[in-house]
Amino acid sequence: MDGPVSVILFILVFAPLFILGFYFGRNTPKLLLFGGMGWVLALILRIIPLNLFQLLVQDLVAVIGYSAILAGLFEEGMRFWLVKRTKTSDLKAGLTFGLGWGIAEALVIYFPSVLLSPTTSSLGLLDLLPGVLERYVAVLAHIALTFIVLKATSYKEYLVVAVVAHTVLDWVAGLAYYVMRLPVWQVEGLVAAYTLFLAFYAIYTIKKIY
Amino acid sequence: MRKDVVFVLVILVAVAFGIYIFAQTPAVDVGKVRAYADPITEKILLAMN
Repeated sequence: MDGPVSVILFILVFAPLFILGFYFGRNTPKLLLFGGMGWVLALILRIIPLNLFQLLVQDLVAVIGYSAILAGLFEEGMRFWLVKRTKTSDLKAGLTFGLGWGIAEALVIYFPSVLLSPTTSSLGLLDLLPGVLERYVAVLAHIALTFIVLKATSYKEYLVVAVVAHTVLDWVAGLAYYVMRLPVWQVEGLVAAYTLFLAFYAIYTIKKIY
Repeated sequence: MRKDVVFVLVILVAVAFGIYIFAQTPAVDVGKVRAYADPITEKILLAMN
């Protein structure tokens, strides 16, 4: 592993996230923790059905579709439950909760992959930057989805929007990368465009409340 | 159901279905250009290379 490259990647990904997390969650650290816990719990709960399906079905498109549906159902279901339990109600609280969710995902997915990747040394910083962009986009997506779920606490149909939006996000990314085999920058560009649409929609929905 | 919910759900389903159709279309890689394999496009791209 190439030490300096990994250190730069960690700083690029985690420094802005931790600064934002500290800033928004300084008075409500519980929300950051609950957000992080939500992602981990949603992952643990769907590990068995996810792996069972992959053992039984070999078709790549079906596996991507099934994984995307599970992610949408479990993550948004868990997010809805936790948002209600923690009585998350205002914009800042939603932002903190979404940040916690995104930071936990980055810590579990991104941190070990950079730390343990045997290919890091053969790749330059530019090759690894899509992963950094991916994390920023993922955190933005989690914040947007948290806002939509906040709205769902008053109007249940927005929970359907959150589940479908999350499912389609994973579906688009999975098909673009594994089936269409698009270059990684194009995949990240596609996912970023979709997430921006989602973020604008989330702002539109939340503006009706606040 | 609210109008904006219906609108966004239609868009999301269209995106999901659109990318599925796009992914299922056989593709040819010509250099760095990825073109979807209708014979005319393929011929044009091959001629360009």
